[in-house]
Amino acid sequence: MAQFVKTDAGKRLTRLITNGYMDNIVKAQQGAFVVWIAIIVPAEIFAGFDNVIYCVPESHSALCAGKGVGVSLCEKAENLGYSMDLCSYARIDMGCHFNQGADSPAGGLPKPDLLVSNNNNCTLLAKWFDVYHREWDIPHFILDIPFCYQPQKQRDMEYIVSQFQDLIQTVEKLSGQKFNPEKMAQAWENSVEAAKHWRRFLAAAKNKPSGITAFDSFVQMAPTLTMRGTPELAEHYRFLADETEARVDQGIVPAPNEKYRLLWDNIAPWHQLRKMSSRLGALDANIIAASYTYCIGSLEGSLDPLEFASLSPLEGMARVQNFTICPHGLQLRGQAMKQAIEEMDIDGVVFASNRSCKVYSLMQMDQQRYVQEELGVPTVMIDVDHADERKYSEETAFVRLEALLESIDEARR
Amino acid sequence: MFFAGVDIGSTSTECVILNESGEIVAADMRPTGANSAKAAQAVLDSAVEKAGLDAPPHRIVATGYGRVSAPFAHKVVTEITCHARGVLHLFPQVRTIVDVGGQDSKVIRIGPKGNVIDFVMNDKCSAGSGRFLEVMARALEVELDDLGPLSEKSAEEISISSMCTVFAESEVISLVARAVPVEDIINGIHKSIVNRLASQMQRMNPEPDIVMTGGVAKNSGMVKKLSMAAGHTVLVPENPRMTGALGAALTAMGLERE
Repeated sequence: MAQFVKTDAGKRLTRLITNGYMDNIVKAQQGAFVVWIAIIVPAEIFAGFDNVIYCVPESHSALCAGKGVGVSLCEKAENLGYSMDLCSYARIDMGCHFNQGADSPAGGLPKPDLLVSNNNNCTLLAKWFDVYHREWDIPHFILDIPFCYQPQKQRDMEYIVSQFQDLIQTVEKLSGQKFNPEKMAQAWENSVEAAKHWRRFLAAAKNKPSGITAFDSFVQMAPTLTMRGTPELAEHYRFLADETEARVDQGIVPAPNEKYRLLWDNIAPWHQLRKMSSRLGALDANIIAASYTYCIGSLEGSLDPLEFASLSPLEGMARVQNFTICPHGLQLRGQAMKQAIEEMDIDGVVFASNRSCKVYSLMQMDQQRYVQEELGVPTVMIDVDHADERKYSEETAFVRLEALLESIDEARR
Repeated sequence: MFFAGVDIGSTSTECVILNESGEIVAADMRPTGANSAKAAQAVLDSAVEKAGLDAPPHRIVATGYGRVSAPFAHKVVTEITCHARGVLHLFPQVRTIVDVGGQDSKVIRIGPKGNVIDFVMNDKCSAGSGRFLEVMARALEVELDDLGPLSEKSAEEISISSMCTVFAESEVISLVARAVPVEDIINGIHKSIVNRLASQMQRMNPEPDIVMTGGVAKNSGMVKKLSMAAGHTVLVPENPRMTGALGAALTAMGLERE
C-alpha cells in the first residue's frame, strides 16, 4: 500500500512556495511592477528587469483547490454572475480577487500592472484576463501562438520571437525600467538547467516499482510555473532528483507492492490528490506518470530532453511555447503517449475528462481508442474537474478505476 | 459448500446463492434504502434462510456501489466484471451488455474468450437511468411497471428534448397540460433514453448477442426500442436485476478454486 512520507524535497517545496508568494506581496508593496501571466508566457523575460515580478493565477487557483477552498471561491464568482460552466481556475481567481484575496491560503496575488496571456494553451484565458482588463483598467498583452500539429516551423518561431520583443518594449514603457538581455539569458540558463533535473526526477518512474507517483510530480511542478528562471528553481529540482534517486537506490518507493502501473492524462484533480492516491495505493495501483507533467522539459510529443544549444534565449523560449500538451494535435499527443507507455511499461491509462479544460479533454476519446486498439493497453475514462470538487464523484470515478484494474488482471490471465 | 454474491446497488440490493454445481439455490432482493450495510446484511440473511443453510456461505463476493459496505464479503469486485460474468453464464454467446440500473447506465463489450475488453458508463448525470424513468412515472401518475405496456399502445412518438431529469420532468408536465396522450409521452421518454444508450453503445461497436440487464430491462417498450436502435434483437434474462449478484456469486466460486 502506498505510504505518505514527507520527503525533504516535499518540505523544501512548502517553504519555497510560501516564500515565493510572500516575497511577491512584499515586493509589490515596495513598488515592484507586477505582471500576471498565463503559465506558458516566458517568465524569464521579466528577470531581465530590475524590479518586475510576475504572478501566475492558474497556479494560485490550483493551490487554492489543493488547500480546500476551491469550491467556496468558485461560489463567490458564481455569486457575481459568472457561469458554473466556466473553468474553475478562472472562477476561483475571480472569486478571490474580486473579494480582496478572500480565502486564499497565500493572501491572494498583488494587483497587476500588466496582464499577459496567450491563446494556444487555454481557450478561455484571454477572456478571463480581459475581465480584469475591463474591471481594473489594466493593459492586456495577448501572445498569438500558432497551434502545434507538428514541430514548430521557423516562420512561427520568428513570429513568436517578434511578439516577445514587443512584450519587452511594452514592459519597458509601462514600468519605466530598462531591459537587460544578459540577465534574461542567465534566467533562461537556469530554466534549462531546472528542466534537466526535472527529467531526472521523472525518470524514477521507470524503476520497478516506480520511485514516484504522478501525484508527487503534480505537486512538485508548482515552482516551474511560479519561479521559472530563478537559480532557486534549478537548485530545488537538483535536490529533488538527487533525493528521489537516492531513495530508489535504498529501495524506498511509494508503492512497494505495485501491481498496476498507470498513466494519467489531464490536469491533476487538485482537491483529490491524497484521497485518490491513498485509495489507489490500497489496491496496489500507482499512477506513476502523467502527460500533464512529463511534457515539461521536452517538446512537441517527444519525451527526450530539450536541446537548445543552437538557439538564442528568445528563440528557445519561443520553442517552449509548444511544451505542454494542450496546444498539441492528436498525432503529437499519441506519439508522446506511446513513448511514455513503452518507456515506463504502463499497464493502463486513466483518461480524466476534465470539465474545466476542454482543450485538454477534447481529443481524449480518439486518443483512448488509439491506445486501446493500436497499442493494446487497457484504458478508462473518468469525469473530473481540476479545481471544483462539486463536479467530481468519488464513487463514480472509483468504480471505473477498479474496473480498469480488473480488466488488467483479466488481460494477464 | 455454498457461494453468495451480493449486489448493493443505488436502488436495490440483490443476493444470489449457488451450490457447488453452480446452480442457484436461492435469490432475494430488497430496496437498498438509506443504509446499504443494513440492506446487504438483511438480503444475505434472507437468502441464506431461503436456501435453508445453517451456516453462512463459504465464500461471499460483494459488488455494486455499496460493495465496500459489506463487512462479511471475502472480496469486492466491480459491477462491470460481475455483470459480465453473470450474463456470460446465462448467455454464453453474449458480446455486448447494456445494463441500465438505478443511477447509471453502462455498455460492456465482451471478447471472444468471455473477458471484458472495454466498457463505457454514463457520466455524472443520471438522465437515461432507472431513476429518470421513476421520476417520469411519478410525474405521469403511472406505475413504473406499466410504462412498458402503455408505451406500446402509442400511436405517435413525442420528442422529449431535455436531457436533464429535472427539466424533462417539467417538459412532461407541460405535455400533460396540453392533453398529449400519456402513451405518446411515455413513448417519447423511452426514445430519449434509448437515444442516449444508443450513442453509448455505438462507441463500443456493438456486436450480437446483445443482452440488456438491470431493472429497466423489465420495461418491454425500452427493450423493443433498444433492439430497433441496435439493429439486433436485444435479449433479456428472466430476472435482469439479478445478473450482478449472480456474477458476484460465480466470482465467489472462482475464489475457492484459486
